[in-house]
Amino acid sequence: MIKLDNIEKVYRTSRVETVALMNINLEVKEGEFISIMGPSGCGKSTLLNLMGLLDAPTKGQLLINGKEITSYKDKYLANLRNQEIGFIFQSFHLVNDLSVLDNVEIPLLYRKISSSQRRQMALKALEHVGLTARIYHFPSQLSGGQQQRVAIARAIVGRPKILLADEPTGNLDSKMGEEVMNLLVGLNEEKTTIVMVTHDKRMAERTKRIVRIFDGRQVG
Amino acid sequence: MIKQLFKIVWNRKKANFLIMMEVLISFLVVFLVMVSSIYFTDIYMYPLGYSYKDVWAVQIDTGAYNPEADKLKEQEIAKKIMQAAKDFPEVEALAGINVIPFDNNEWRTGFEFAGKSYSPAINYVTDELPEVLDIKLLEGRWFNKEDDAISETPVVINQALSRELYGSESAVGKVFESGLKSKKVYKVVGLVSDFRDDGELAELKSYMFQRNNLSSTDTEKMLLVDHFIIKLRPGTPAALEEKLVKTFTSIAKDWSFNIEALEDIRYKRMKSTLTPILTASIVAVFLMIMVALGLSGVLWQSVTQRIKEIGLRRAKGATQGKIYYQILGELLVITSIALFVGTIIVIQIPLLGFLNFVSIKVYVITLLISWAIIALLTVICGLYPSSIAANIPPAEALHYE
Ligand SMILES: Nc1ncnc2c1ncn2[C@@H]1O[C@H](COP(=O)(O)OP(=O)(O)O)[C@@H](O)[C@H]1O
Ligand SMILES: [Mg+2]
Repeated sequence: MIKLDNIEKVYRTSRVETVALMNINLEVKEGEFISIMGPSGCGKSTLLNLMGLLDAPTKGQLLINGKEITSYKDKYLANLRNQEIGFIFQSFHLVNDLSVLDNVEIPLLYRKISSSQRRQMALKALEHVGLTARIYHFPSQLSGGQQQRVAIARAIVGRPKILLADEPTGNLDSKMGEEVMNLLVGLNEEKTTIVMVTHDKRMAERTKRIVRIFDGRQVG
Repeated sequence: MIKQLFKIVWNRKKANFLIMMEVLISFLVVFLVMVSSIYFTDIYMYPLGYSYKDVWAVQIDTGAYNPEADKLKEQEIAKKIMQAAKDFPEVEALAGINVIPFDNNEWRTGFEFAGKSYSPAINYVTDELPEVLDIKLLEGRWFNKEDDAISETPVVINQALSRELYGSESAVGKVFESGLKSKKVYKVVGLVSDFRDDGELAELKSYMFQRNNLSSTDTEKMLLVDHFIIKLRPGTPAALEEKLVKTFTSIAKDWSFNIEALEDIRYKRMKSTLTPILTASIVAVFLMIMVALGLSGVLWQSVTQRIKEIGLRRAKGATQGKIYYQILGELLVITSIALFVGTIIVIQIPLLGFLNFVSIKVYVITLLISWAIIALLTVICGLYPSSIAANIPPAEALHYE
């Protein structure tokens, strides 16, 4: 599904050079549920961003769904992000000016889909996360857990094969975190490949494999 | 996509209201600046109706006003002076005129016609005026000896007055009554396009010439001449002025004379008109710069506030182009609304009785140009922050604070 080959990421600003990732070799197989653990600042988010094509590696080779990323041109990446990947963030990243339904429809705006079909798919995704009653609410009217469920609906609405989640429960209390985790486990049981960054050992234990990063290097 | 555009513009109405107000104020400023500059450009383009090249004006000062003075005798001396001027080989033509072109004074006459009152500018001139100022008649003829025989007072009018009095009908041959006690009757003998004696930057006005017959002894038909103008051979040196004054003083020792080229009078007049216009232009340029800065500031802020949203959209599959067009599209919607409101406001101005001197043509041209300027300004001011925002890598945009 995802294969990282000798990946390296260096952040260069005018003065400092930060080596965020060094020599990463990792293969995520279809149907896996992997959690990435490690101390703060060790490069977990950087790794997930590279997998999600939100950033380009400094060195190394990347394969998504068997497709080798040969170009980092905007159009090509945008299409891959849209078709193959669903992203979930710690801080939800909902658009506050849009209703729950409109937020979930966002990925579909960048596909050639009729508005009625768009709505149908969004409603189905919202049903999946149990928020059918809230579709006309705005993000500010929802609890954190509900907001993250909207974000999950938005991530799965385009039916991507891969879900990337960066500390999806990091901003939630344990009960709400539990709900979100249950959803992810359920999605994985329905054959969605998931890579999740987490700090929480109990969450990590519910996944099938744990990858540990320390100071930009893979340690297990 | 269009529906999405309106939806997000509507949902962000609070923030967009600010931008809209900025665009609206910018539009009003641009409109007011434009309406005055286009107004002046427009009237500047209208023909002057005469040529002031190589023409000098002579002013006769007979000293302190004396009611006892023998008018006819004074007139005889004035005529002698005019004859002396004509005798100079450099002088090609000479005409008596009451109001000198570009000179800052004006005579008006008032009368009633078909139940309406009119007050055109009036100038008392002699038969030779067209030769001195190269005036072309559109219709009819200029004053000449034929007029000695007719009982009415002959006049030549400009097109503006002709239109006011007779609409599209030909004015030549028509008569109308003066507003004077004598109930003098004017007869239109000729039509000129215009005679803009206040210069190229003055408002257009209705105008009439009345014949001044210097050989008449009837003071109704003859007005004392205290100015005349002379057409000189091209290339006549300024030194002639002194010779002329010397000759004139030898004829009338107690009088004094002032000679000035029309070109110089025009220059002085132009300068006094242009000074306030230039001051206003500097203020206008300053205002436009403020408007552009204000607009780009507001747009810049509105884009930076949305960098996270832009990052999110790109993470979900939006290309840079899509982001670009979304922001520009939103801007277009907001600008259109602001321009719509602005246009409604601007249309109220003449309805409320302001800016009435501006013609509908100038008004419409100003509107079109102001729309274009504002559209261009918003696109330019919006383009730059949009392109910067669209170019931030999504991973970075998502963490933008
Ligand atoms: N855009 C960036 N520019 C410069 N340095 C960055 C940037 N993003 C992350 N880093 C640095 O890279 C390292 C890894 O960051 P990150 O992947 O966010 O860690 P984690 O998610 O494990 O906490 C950190 O030292 C961080 O400061
Ligand atoms: Mg992180």
